[in-house]
Amino acid sequence: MQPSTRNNPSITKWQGLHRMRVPTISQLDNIKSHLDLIILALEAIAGITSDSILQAATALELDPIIKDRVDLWRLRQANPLRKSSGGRKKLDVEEARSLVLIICYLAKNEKELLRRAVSLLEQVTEQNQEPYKMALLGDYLDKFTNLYQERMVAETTIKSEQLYQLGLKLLVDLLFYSGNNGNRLLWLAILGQS
Amino acid sequence: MDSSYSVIRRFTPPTCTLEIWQKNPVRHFWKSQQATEDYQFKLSFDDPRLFEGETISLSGDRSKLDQLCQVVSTYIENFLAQSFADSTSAELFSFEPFSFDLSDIELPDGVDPNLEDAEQENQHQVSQSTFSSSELVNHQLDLNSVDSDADLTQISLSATQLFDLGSALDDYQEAMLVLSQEQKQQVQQKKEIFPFRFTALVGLLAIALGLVGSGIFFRSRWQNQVASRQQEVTTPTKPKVGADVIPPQISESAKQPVAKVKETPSLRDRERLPPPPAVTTPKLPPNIPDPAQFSPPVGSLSIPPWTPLPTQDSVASSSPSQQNSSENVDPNKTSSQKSGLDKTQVEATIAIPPQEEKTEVPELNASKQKSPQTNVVEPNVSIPDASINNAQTNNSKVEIAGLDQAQESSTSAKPKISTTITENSATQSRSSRSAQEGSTDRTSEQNPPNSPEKADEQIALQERKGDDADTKSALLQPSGNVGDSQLQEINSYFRNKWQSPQELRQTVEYRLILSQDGSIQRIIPIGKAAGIYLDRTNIPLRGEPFVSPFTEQEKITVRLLLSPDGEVRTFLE
Repeated sequence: MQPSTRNNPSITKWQGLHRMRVPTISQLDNIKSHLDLIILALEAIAGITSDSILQAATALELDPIIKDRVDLWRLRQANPLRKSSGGRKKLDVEEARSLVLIICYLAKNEKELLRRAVSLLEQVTEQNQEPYKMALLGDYLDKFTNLYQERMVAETTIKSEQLYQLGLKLLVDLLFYSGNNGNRLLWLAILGQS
Repeated sequence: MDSSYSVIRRFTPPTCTLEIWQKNPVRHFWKSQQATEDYQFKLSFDDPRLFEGETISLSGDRSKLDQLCQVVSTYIENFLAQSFADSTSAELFSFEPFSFDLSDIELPDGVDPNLEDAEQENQHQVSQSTFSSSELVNHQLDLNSVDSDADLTQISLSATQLFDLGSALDDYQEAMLVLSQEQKQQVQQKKEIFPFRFTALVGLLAIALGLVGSGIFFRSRWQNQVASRQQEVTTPTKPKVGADVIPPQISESAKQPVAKVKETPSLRDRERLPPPPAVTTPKLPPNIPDPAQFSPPVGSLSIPPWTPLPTQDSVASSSPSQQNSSENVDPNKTSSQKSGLDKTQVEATIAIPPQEEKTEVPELNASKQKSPQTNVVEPNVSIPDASINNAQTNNSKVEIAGLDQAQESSTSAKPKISTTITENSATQSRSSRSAQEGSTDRTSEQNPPNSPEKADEQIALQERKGDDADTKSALLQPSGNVGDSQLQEINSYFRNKWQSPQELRQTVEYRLILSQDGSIQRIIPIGKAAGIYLDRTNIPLRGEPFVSPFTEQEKITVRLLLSPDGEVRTFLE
């Protein structure tokens, strides 16, 4: 059963956020990169696929913006870090807003998994152990690293340790985005980045 | 917490509990504007790894809770914002401290605009922190801005605890926002309802005053009525005045209509009368005059069986005009007319000596055959001998007087005369009766036209006349030569044809009007039974040749009597 987005107070509260300051083009580039990385983390931790994203778009009544796989692919290809041979699509505010809603929707659906992963991270950190030694976190980090190296340009040489840290940071962020106020937090984080 | 406080809201994420306490909620129900302001909070972190005394808890008023919300939300936003970096630079994941200014962002409703102050502090904290795995899960919250006087100025939270705390505070803010909106609506409703309450109260008071006033009025009025009644009871003259007004009592005669209503069942009984074939008693027709109603029973006939036919024939022949005029007239009227004959004729008829009887009868017959219109009064066959003749002569004087009276007055005197004659004849000796019968027999033998059918006809005539029929009028009955043959034909016809139905209990009587060609011109049933049994009498149809034609008269009226025992009697009218 699809959750109701109209009566959700957090979404209602969030829907007023897009009237905030309109980001510049450079800010939108960073936003595009960051949103694509968050979706990449979701794919790594919860196995989110393109179909899941399209279903979430339909559930959130965002299918006019993200109609099919091509639209979704073009949105994700707007990430400047992505490997691409042609011109990149310009991401507008509505598309960014749609991706924010989709990310928080999917994160909320995977809230228990995210919470368990973060709790596991807290335990291994407290025990001074490596996170990748834990099955859940290790699989996640492997998937995230592989997806990043597969889809992003190789020009930016990033160490594995840095990718692990990035992956764990995005994992904890996803936990906060899975809350009732996740939309607002993500949008404020995007705008505050500029 | 003071015992006067009670929990109105509780937010329980997995690792912390936030309770909202409110003082005297009943009192604040009437002070709704202050309901959201005057409350306390209690925040406790549930960490099973810590002992009971080591658990972290915070408490305070609303302002302190609001400050805590700002600190936590800012910390989380800064933490989440650290994930962004210039995607094009190599310093993407360097996690260098950064800061951002929210002054140019239009914060939505519910977000405190004083967020910058706390943000600056958080910027300082974030700037001093470096991200590592331990830093991702361990968060230090500076609570100096929240409560500088408290001993607990900084708390260490894990990522999940920070997430739960942020969720609890977000839920609290949303709940308070919704609560304040509801209370505002309630205040507006109360303000709108208050005038109605006031008006309703005033209306109720007015109705109550009206009821009380009307109650007092009716009570006083009732008391006045009671007092007046008591005065009426005590005053003796009042009842006399009231006696004129008292309606009269219902008399017994007024109850008679109730008895009339009881006639309805009898009407129902009338509807249940048997059908016409079962009629046993003759009923008089309402409009048709029936001469038979005056006829006494056959057994009670007191007239001596002498045959006055020759005399009648002679009388009829002597006045054919009268007979013609009396054809379509009521028999009573005819008898009255016949009773009005000349005295001389009556006297002659009565005074004829019996010796002439034998001699005159052939002459009568001869004259009758020769010229029926000649006036022959002399023969009188009905007087057998001198003794009877004398008595008859004596009686005749009385009869003459009676006849005179009848001529002068009306036909009502006839029964009187006939009664006298009957009584006189009854007083005669039986020997004379026997002699009279013998003479009658002889006369009948000597007079062929006067057959037994003729005698029956005469008897029927007398029955028809009944007591009303006078002997003299019977003698003067028009049974002349005209129609005799037809009468015989009719009699013989019905003797052959008449078969009485079994259910017939009475004599049926018909009046047949014959035309000159011998056919029946008209059939008049006399009596209800006659009409019913008309189709069983075998009377020919109108227009069919029935009897031999006659030319003496235009039409002949014949009375036909059919008895249940098969007897047929016919006579002319």
